[in-house]
Amino acid sequence: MTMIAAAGLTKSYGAEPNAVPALRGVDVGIPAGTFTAVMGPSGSGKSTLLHCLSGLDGVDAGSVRIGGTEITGLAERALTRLRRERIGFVFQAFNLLPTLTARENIVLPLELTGRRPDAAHFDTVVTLLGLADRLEHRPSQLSGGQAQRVATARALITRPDVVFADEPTGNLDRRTGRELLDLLRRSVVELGQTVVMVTHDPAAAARTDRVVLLADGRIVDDVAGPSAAEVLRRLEDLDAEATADAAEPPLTAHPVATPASTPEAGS
Amino acid sequence: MRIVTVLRRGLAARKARGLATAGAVAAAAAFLASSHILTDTVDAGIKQQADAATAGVSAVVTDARGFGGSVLTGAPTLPAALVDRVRGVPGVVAAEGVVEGYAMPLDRAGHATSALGGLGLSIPADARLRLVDLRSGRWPEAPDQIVVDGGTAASLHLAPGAVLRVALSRGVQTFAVVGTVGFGGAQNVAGLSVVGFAPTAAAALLGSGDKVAAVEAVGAAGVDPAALQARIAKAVGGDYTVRTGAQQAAQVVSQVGSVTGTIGAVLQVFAFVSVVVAALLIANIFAVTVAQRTRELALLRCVGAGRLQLARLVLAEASLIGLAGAAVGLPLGLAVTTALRWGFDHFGLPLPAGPTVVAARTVTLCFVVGPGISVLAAASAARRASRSRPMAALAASSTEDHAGRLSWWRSTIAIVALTGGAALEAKADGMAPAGLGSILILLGVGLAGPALVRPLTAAPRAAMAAVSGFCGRLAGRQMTREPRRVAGTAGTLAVAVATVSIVAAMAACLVSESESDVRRSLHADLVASTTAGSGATLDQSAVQRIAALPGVAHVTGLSCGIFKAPGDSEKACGIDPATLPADVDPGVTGGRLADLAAPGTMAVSALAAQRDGWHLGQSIPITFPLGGTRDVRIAALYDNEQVLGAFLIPESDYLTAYPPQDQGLEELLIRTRPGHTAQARQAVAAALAAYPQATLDDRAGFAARAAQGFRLLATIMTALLALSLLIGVLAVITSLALSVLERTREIGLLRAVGAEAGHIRALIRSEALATVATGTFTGVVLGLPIGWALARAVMDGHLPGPPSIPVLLLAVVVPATFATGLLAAVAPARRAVRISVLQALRAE
Repeated sequence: MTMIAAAGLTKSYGAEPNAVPALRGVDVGIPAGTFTAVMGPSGSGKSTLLHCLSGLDGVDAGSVRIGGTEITGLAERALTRLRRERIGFVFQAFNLLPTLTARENIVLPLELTGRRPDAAHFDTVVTLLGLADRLEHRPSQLSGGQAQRVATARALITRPDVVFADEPTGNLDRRTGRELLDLLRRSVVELGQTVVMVTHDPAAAARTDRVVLLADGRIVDDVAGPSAAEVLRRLEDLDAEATADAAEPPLTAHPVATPASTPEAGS
Repeated sequence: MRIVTVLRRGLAARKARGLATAGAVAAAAAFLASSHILTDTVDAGIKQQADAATAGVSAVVTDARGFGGSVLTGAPTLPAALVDRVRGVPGVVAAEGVVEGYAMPLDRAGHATSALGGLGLSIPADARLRLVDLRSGRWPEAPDQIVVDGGTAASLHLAPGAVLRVALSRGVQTFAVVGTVGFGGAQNVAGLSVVGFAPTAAAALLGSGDKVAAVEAVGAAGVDPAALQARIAKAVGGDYTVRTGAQQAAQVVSQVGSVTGTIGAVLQVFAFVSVVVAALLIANIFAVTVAQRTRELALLRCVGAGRLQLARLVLAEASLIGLAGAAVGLPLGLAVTTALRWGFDHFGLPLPAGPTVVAARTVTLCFVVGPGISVLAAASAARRASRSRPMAALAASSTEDHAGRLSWWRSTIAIVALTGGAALEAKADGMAPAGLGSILILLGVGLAGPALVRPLTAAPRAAMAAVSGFCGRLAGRQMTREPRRVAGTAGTLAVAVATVSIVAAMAACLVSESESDVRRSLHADLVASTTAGSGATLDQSAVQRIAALPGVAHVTGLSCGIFKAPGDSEKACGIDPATLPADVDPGVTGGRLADLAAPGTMAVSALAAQRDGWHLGQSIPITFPLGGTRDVRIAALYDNEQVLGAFLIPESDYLTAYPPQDQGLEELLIRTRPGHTAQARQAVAAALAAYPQATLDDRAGFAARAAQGFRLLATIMTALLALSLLIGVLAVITSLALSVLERTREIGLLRAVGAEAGHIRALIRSEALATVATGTFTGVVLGLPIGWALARAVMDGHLPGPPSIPVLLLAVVVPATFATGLLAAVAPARRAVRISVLQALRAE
């Protein structure tokens, strides 16, 4: 069964004549119960694709169906409801409300409409993510990996049609990141969850069922059962093409936003 | 260093909060400016009128001892023979006595035309001695002719030839208006209605007998006024004050000024409160700004900005905003002044007219106080900014829980201030300790604020959670996460509400005490009373007419006049100790009222005795208007002073010690025959139609009327102070707006997991309401006891009844504050709703 079906997705930013195209006719189908990675160089449109697929951003043309529902024409209220009931999100950073405990963060989407969480499902999710002894902690008392696990639990708690993860390991160290990916993987295998993840890390992509490669707003490659080496090779091919095309230095991966340390001045 | 560039860009980037800060400064500066502009304008207006009034007069002789009297002259105690003595002084070419008394023009419906009072005076025969200018018509010559002031003529549409009914002490009388008069450029003096009578008829009409209020003299051409003044002074002796025309003008100014000065003082209290509230608001805004800009400031430090540079950056921003606020506040103050003038006019208290005066002092004050409070309020934020360490700040996350813990010195000072304030308040019997206690308590609560947020907000948070469910709970969490900000916001509101509560509670206590005083003491069935301070009286003819009515058993008239005790000037009423107890029970606590049968005695209210340090049996040297100083023995002390006043002397003594005009009656205590009260009341009311200056009440009605003064003053004060609540609400708005701005990511996250616009609105609204509720209740809970303590202090510790609750405050101000709290949430909520997930993801 195809959980997400997108056809002819077109999206540009800015007004003509200075519009910058982000997606130029993307067709993609995501089968239910699969773990898909979306990859591509910076500016390839992978984040835009995720935003359009999840209804966070509108499209200029094309169609997106989630579990049979056409979402491109939906009003804001319906989209909000869709996000609350049928989509889960895991972001790179700032995934949790600092004033709520881990438990409260997990059940947040349910609380908004006053629904009680299904105790069995809650236990399943919490056990899967290994959070049983962390439930009463505040986000400030959690490590980065734990916080992302809480965010993942929140995404899973509503049994959504699909979980969208935007660079979920971007702020984690290598080992913690790997653990989180294993957990996402297990949610797919054990709970039958559909997960779509944007990442720039070939090692992360290697843990998925399938890698969709984007460049210049188009799908340029689609790799099933990828290995890290394979993904890396294909990415390098893309970079080489880009260099040849634009005669520009290759794009680096996301610069990590850590400020340079400077000795304290004036004291 | 181009730190100036950083400053300019920073201001431009944070327009909203810059505007809010400048707005608070502008509001405070406007109130400050208007209180000064109004008093200066009124003073200048009075001065102009007074100068014009005394322009032609060389010298004015009045009673030196200050027994009251009108604003133009003095007490009506001067013997007519004094006029001849002045006339005989070499260099004096003309001298005449001026007679003054109560005269109130009535409109068609029989109502008084001025709330401030009516002044009747004789128009001197010699044109040079006239204090007024003829505007139209001619001067009065016959006993039934009068002139009226231009203001009254305009409001009643009177022209020469019209017929006017005038209330006099001896009853209403009809006169022919033959002219209208003005005072220099002004229509009237100090808002009074003025009626001028023919010199020969005035004494009889105004009931002044053979006494005059002033003797005016004109010197021969070439005689120096000062020399003439000295000569007259020598001729009349030390009991009289002789002033030149200019000095008399200055005297009038200070007399009227003391009346309008009260209005000015009230306005200044109000301006002060708004300055304090504005300063709190600004401090709050800057604290948040600096906390938010920690990263920016740290980055500046990283690139080499010094500590002082950062502090200067914050302070420069504060003073710029303060200057802008002051620049807007000054013209705003002019607008407020106009509005206030209109308001006073509208409520029958016309203020003396004249060109608006903006003194250099007012401008300076605005431009010192505006940036001043801004800089002071920003000082602690600046200190924190300068302390920021480069790395610590860059690493800091703005989402950590800030515990409401206080530094040890802060807790110590807070505890000392609170216990000290409470101790002072508990046994304060004077204004100074009670006031100090109140300030200490407010200071203590302010210092302890962040630590108090959790307990104080508990109830509102629980209420919000119950009403708005999850969003209410989330809002509650947000509040305990930022105790400092909530303390700042709710505290600002609490100060404003507390001020209003203090005034309201004080008034409620004083009103209830004065009402229960009347209920305890009054036995007479009906009371006909004149408005205190208006100068209105009734003469004996009223007593005779009412006593003759069917159903009336007995009528006692009460006349009162000013006397001088060492260091003090008070008002005594004459009574007959034999018949008084049937009308009023003063509640004697010491001595015997019957002892007042002997001459040279006095009964004093226990409160007044305590205030003046007098005790039973003591002899006090007292000066009455007539007959000089004599020793008076205190024969009794009593409790209930609302009906009788605080000082009583035997009626026989009163008759000889006071001039004819002071023999006018201020109150008539009327006893009816059993079972005939209703009938008697009707008959008395009909008889009093001839005396519109008197109001007829039964016991309950008189109790309410006795408290009316407090009530009116309290209402005016509350209304003015309620405006400071607006600044408090501004604090809530800015705080919420900043909170929304700060939580862009969080709100975006909520949207991402499916929160609808309604959820976000409920969240912001809950936070606003809980903050407003905390501020309001804290303000009320602090304000009421302080108000009670202050009321007790005003009564020198004598407040026997239980504390009263100001119902008006609770019924109007509290719901109004809540409503404005809801309104305060509108703009920030709209902004929060507009935050989209994508925008939040992009936000830093």
